[in-house]
Amino acid sequence: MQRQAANNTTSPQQEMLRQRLPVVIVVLLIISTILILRLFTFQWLPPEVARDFQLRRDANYQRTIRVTSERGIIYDRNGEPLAVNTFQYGIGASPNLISNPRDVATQLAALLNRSELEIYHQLTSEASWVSIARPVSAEVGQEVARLQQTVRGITREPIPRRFYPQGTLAAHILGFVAGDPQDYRGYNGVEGYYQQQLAGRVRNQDVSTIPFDLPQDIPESDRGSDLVLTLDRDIQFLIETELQLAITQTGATGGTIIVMDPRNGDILAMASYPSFDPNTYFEVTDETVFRNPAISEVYEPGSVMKVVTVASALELGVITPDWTYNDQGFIDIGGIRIENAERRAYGVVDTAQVLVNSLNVGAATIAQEMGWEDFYRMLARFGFGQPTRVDLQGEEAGILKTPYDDDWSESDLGTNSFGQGISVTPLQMITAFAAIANDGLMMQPRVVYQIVDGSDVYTTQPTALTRVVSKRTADIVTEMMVRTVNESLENAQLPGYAVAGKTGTAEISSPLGYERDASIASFIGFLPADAPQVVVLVKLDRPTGYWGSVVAAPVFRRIAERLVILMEIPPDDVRLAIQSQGGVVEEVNR
Amino acid sequence: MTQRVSIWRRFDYVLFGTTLLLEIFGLLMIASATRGAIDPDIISRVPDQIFYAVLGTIIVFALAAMDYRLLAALHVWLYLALLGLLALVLILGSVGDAGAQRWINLGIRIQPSELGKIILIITLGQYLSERYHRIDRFSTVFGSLIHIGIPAGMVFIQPDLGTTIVFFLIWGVLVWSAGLRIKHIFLLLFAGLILMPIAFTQLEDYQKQRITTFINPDSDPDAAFNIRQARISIGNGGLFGKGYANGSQSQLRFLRVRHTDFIFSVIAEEFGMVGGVTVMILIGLVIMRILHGARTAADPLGSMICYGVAAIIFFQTTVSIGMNLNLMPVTGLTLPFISSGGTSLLSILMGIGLAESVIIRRRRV
Repeated sequence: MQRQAANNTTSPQQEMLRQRLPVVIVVLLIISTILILRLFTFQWLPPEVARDFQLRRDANYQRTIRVTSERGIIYDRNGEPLAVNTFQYGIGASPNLISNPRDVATQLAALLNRSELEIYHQLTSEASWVSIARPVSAEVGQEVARLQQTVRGITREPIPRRFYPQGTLAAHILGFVAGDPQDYRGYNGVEGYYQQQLAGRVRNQDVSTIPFDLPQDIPESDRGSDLVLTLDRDIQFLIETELQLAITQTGATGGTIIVMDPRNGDILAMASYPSFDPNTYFEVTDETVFRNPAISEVYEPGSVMKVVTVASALELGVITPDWTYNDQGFIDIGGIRIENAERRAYGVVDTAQVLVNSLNVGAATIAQEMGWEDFYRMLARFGFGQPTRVDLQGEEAGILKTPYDDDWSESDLGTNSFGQGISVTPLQMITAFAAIANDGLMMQPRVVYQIVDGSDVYTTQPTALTRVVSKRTADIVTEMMVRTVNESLENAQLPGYAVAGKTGTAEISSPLGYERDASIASFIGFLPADAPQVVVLVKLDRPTGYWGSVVAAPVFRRIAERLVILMEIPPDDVRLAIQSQGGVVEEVNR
Repeated sequence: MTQRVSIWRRFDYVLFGTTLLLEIFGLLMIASATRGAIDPDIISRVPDQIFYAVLGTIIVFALAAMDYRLLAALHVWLYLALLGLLALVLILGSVGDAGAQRWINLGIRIQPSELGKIILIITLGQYLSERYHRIDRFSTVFGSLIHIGIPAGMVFIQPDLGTTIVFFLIWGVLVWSAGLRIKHIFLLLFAGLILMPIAFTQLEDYQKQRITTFINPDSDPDAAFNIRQARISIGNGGLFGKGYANGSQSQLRFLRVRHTDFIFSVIAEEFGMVGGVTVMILIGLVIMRILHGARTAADPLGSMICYGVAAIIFFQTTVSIGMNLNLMPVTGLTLPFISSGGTSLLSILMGIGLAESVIIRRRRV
């Protein structure tokens, strides 16, 4: 009935419904148009915008990694490896490629020594890739490689690791390597200074993060250069052993020993205490041990500086070897009274006695006669107050106050002459002595002898920095230093060899003035005195023996006894006999 | 028997064919979006969707064969059953996808709020057509608002704000198309706006928080991530797309909930602008056929059913695509016919069945 009626007539309400339909359709069309226009702006893009979108999409599944090449190997001067490369591995998995997560989890858990349940959860996650363990050792990496042959979806990423086969040996010179594979770089020492050469060419490479595309092997790119150091492993071992012994015997809180060839600036060995093991650098709690005290720790050198004062005055002609003065046991300079260490007056003494008896008054008198201008000019020429520019990372310049500085006072001229009120690094000090040993010619200290880049071998040439004094002056000062050892330093004498040397016993300055009963005891000596082949610096911080002559000189002697054997330096009489017959002993081999 | 044949002769095959096309396309897209998945819930999406599509198609024919006026005659029972189900959800509903209570488990999991969309079209349509001669009275309008307001309130506190809005949309479309006075509509809108903050204060804290997230989804970094990935996906689709199952964004899972909320982004990436617009045109065709049904319906009830069904499809499509195109906030509303989700597909197909029932019984011209 109803249907019949509806079929034939239209109610007013239906009229209304039909009248309003066009409005509905217009609204529909407007909204649809908005949506389609919006889609249009999303998809009909100018090329550059489209490219940007493509990049953003690619960023989702491609990443650019820095492909580091194999790091160069570091050898000592005789080809003994000091730093080599090994691998650890990062283990991961692509969950959607693993068909049997339960079994794989069991196997991986056993290999990686991790919770089976945790690995299972990772293997069943929705992520496209999960990292399961890193780093794992090379042995575990091998085991996982075996598992990879039967199970799909496990990834193994090699992580290069630096390995130092000699352990703690020469840690300060070598430095260490740390960081992610992408940012794997050397810190401190040679690793830091030669980072660029050792790292080789670093390339940026696009790598897909899609699990099936993950490359197992990072393509070989340019390998880093190898370094051959001037260092001699045996000498390094010798001085590290002796340093440790000295530290134990004297109770010193620290110390440094440097062995250098004065003829070419080669650093044959350099050791400091405390040190660290570069293999386990990350276990170090006190990061200051990474700094190499031999090049970065400044100290007041004390009486060894008298050699520089005397050499400078002789060079400038202010004094002659025959020069004398009347030692009254004290001298007043700039309102400060300077006294001799043993608090006594020596009467009329000559130049050599200033070194032999280590007379503070004598050194100050000489400095005063030179005048500040010449004195500081000579100190600068000897390299104080500026870095030696040795090829090691982290070198300090030391502190040399001159009259041009505000905090200089006239008394500094007096105290600086015997090594107080001036701060130097051990390397600066030994370089200055090496210059006198090398007939007055200062050589650039160096650690790297060769850089080997594939078949290209770049050999660094010994570089003369400056002539600090004439050969004549150098000979005179050397002779005085030989007398010093012979007449007052029994501890530093080496039978059969003429040793030139000087001790230093410096008080330790602190903000409250100089500390009592604590010293930095040092000795610098070279031999053979007439044709020096090796300079040795021994420095001990706060030893119980206090005096350089008591604690540092014996260490020098023990080292020198072994050095002449290791370096095949014949006793003076043998050598001179051979030379007088026209023979040649020990050329400068490099 | 002759009459039965004549019924199927009047069946709108264009409408049905288009929905079938969209369903199949949706299945393919879900298959592409869930390829290589591990989660068993995700893997089962395609077979589930096939099951619901088949079930839905049976329902389309069943509802088409059944006279919609018969259903309308049962409107009191339908309405009470809906309220009962919604109450059941509030009492013992299990926790759904978004953490809100939407499901109840009666052998198969059903979502009464989805069912509610269709039931309310019938019951409210019946309510309005019974009172069409009093339609311009305020009491009628107010009564209709109460009619929709009770179930809407129950859905709101689940909370399911999306469906609540759909309920009020159904109300708005039906009362408007039934010829309501414009001034009454504005009066009620005004009252609603005043009441809303008061209602808000009555909510539990977690409910408030869910509603705030709904209104300002940018406060949720996850949602912001999804929007950005959708933009990249669509932008990379270009004119013709990257090809089926070749969209790197969706295949590599940078696009989340890609089989439901962001299925349009998958379409736009893999089939480009052509694909996206084609889907819109096909859904537009469905809506147009239903609106055509409204125009030719035998009685006001039939017209209003068609209006309601068309409104639901249009609203959900607009919100879903608008969300993918970053025009609308991220809600859980699905893309009709295409998104994965059983109850949502069933309710839309029920709507199609109802519309077919109206179309079959249209006025003979």
